[in-house]
Amino acid sequence: MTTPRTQPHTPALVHPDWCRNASIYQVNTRNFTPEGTLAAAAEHLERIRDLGPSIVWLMPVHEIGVEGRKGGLGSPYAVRDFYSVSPELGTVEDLRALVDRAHDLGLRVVLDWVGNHTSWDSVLREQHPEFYALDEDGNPQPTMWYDWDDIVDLDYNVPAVADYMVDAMTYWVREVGIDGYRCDTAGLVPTWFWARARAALEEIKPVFMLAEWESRDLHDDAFDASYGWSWNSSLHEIAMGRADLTPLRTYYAWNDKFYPRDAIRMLFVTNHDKNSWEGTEYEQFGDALEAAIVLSVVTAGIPLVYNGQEAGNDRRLDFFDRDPIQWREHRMGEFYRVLLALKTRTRALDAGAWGGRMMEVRTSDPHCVLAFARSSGPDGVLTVVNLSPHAREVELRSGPVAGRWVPLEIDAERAADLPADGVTLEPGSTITLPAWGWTVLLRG
Amino acid sequence: MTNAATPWWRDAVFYQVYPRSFADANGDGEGDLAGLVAHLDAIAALGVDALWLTPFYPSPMVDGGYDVADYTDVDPRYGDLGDVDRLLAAAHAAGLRVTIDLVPNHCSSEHAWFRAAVAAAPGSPERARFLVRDGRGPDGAEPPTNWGSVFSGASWTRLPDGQWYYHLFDPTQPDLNWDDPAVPEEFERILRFWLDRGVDGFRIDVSDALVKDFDAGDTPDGSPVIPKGADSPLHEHYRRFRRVMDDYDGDRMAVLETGAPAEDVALLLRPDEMHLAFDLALTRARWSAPALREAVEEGLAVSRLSGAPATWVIENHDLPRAVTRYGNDVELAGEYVPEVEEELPEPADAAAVLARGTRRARAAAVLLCALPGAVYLYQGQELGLPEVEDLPDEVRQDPVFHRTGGAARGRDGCRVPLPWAGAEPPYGFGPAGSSPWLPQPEVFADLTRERQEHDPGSMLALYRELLAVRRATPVLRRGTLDWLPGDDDHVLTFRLTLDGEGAGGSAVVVVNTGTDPVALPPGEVVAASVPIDDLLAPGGALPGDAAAVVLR
Repeated sequence: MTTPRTQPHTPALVHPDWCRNASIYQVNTRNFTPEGTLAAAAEHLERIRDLGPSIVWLMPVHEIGVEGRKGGLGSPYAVRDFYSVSPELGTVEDLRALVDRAHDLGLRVVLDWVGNHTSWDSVLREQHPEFYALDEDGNPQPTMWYDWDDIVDLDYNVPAVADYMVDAMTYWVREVGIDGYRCDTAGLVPTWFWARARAALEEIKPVFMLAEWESRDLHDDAFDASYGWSWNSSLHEIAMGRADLTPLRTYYAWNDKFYPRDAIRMLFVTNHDKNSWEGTEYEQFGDALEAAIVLSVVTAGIPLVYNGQEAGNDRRLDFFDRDPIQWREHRMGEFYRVLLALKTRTRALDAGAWGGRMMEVRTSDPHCVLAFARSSGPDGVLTVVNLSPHAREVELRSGPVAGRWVPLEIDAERAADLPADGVTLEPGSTITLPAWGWTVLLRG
Repeated sequence: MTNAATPWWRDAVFYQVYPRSFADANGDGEGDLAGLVAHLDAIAALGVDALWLTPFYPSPMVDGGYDVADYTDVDPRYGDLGDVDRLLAAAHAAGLRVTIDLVPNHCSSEHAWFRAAVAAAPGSPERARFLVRDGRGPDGAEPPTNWGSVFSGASWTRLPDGQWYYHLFDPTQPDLNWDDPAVPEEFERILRFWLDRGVDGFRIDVSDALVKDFDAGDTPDGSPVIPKGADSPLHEHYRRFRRVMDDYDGDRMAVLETGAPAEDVALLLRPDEMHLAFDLALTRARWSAPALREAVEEGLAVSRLSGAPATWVIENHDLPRAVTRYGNDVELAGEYVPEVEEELPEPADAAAVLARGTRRARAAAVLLCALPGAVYLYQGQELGLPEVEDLPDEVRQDPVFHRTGGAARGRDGCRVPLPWAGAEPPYGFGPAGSSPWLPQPEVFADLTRERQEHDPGSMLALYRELLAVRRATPVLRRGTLDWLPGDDDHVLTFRLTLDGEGAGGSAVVVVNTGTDPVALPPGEVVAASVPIDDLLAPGGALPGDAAAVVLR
């Protein structure tokens, strides 16, 4: 997957226009509200809209298997019936009502889709035993090498599997009106399948498809967006003091040249996996959290907010049982509101080919400071981030820095102290940033 | 953006009429305003929003009427002011706005002002209206600067008493002195004369060259020094034009002919100056994706800098026809009057070149009608007329041809009278038996409007379809353009999106200038230069030299 293509490629995939300036909000329905239901989640849609995201991603809504279940309620990613709604969350009518209400608010809804596997007791084991590859003992197989004991793999070498799954995916778009999918472990399912599913969905309406995977070629015919896992891990390593900027620069170099210009990378500081298995965003990023969130919004891509971030959730949520988020007013809410509003209104920050390319600004301190500008028409955004635990005075040596710049107005702990009415910069100008400090400057 | 207050011109389609070659009502071989009025229904049926008439003013016709002898009258060959009034009434009744040409840089040497200037003494107010200077050297026999004319040759001509007058173009087109208050004063009168009659706007000829800096003296290559930047007095003149136009209701407007750099054009399009400026880059681009992309980028750059819509053109009365340019893989140079960098090759197989050029011109039509902003079409473009390349030297009229001693073929080949109907000349241009001022080629027999009217595969049918789709699809008229990546050497792919709720989704435009078919993105193909059914067939792809618009 890392070799150059042999032919210039004209993509057949075009993003739905509504994802241009969107951000994504991930709902872990079970823990999103005290009730843990779709009906209760629907009551939060207006709040999500006011926070700024316009795409709501619902984690799997389907009935969960009992056999081999982990914890009391089981993993939502161990699906028993792709045509069902889990009674734990509500009914298909509840889902439809949520989608309708979201649409009324100008939001889009994407469902989580688990194409790689099913629960052990999936209805398909009875209806279509031929959908599973069997081991020497005649048993279906969990995905090898992982510890996913609660699921068994579907066998895409069986043509009828793809037919069944495409039908099931179109069902939810057609019957419930959802606007696309976040596809779980997308790289473990053949890419041709996703392209076929995408084409079938497009017959109904333009959809948004997000791959939980990090691979260029998924963007050719199937996916609008893919996970920026390596962006997250690079920043995490930097925040923990285990790396300088080299891995992060590598990410940006690849994003610029290896990925197609119109590919959209999803950038997240946390998500359900990170939160439950590796640590909260506060554990993962420490003092670098503000800078990481800023970068997730202003660099090329589409930002993700995992539910609870806006309430400063600092607990690892139980993944296999109910563990409701403790909602509270928190400065992180306003922080996200300001950043996501900037993302929504600034063409330079649009996703894919819509947005301004990230133009590196070379500085006197390349191992600690990341600086870049993006512009589109009259819009321009210049970001300078100090990814080190010491204050830095940094010279902006070359790159598109010349002009009048006004700092983003935001209540933040680590924003650089710059005059609110703006600064005039040119190559050679210096900026002082506190430890893990940052500034987002808008062309004045 | 999409409210009722959006001025009409921001996304209008204009149809350029070259009156001398449009339709001849009185049978004298030259088109006239009565002929235009008689055929207005054909233009309205095309689906355009407005007309632009090139000059119909009294003129010795040294430069096709861009040598104006009287700015507020009609040359008898075209009719009289009553015909203008009838045209305005009929066009407005048909829902068409009418814009006319304004030529402020120079007038004809036959203009009363220039005659008076010649007759008057050096230093007189009459001479002050023109750019008259003493010469250099002994007896002032050397011209004041070494600047050359756009039409080749020197740009200074000596008056009988020894002073020199400046002409950017032909010696019979003396430049007006915009530093003399009498000149802007007179042009305000001219604007008001036509605005009072009901004219909806103007196309301003050589708009950026009104001010010259003779103090700059000789230049290394003899090019004139024409200040266009923020400090140039030019802007004060256009601010005055704007104030005059804003005195009238109905969003009166002006479009600028200019070849200035984007930064300078953007200055002329500031909110208190003019409205639109042609993006002439697209007229010069050869049929290749990189060249077309660069040209579109240039138009967008002006738009991004100024906030004014881009204004797209692939043909006008100064250019070889698109069918012929694309068929021969030609690209053009030149700021105002285009130069063919390579002379058109002698076609080995004229029919094959015509077929290839027509196929590409159809694809270019799809591109043109899917570009956001204002669009200009030139009469005959909708018929797919080729350049008439075999005009005998003795019938050629363009000063470009004569002043270069025939080295440049000039612009007559795109000005041949239109074919309307019938199987032989004058093809309905004038009454049977009349003889058009430029001879029409035999190929026009296959290209008459009558013939194309009921042929669904004709260029005319394509333009009608494209303009109907454009009218029904706001994102094509007002969307924001973003390039999509792909095989950039051979394929132009862009996406149009429109902000705002219920704006109607997005569109993707694919232009394939290569030979390999390319896949189209999912969505509804609403317009294409090849039969849409072929694209929708299983495995259907966009073939080479074709273009399509896909709605999402």
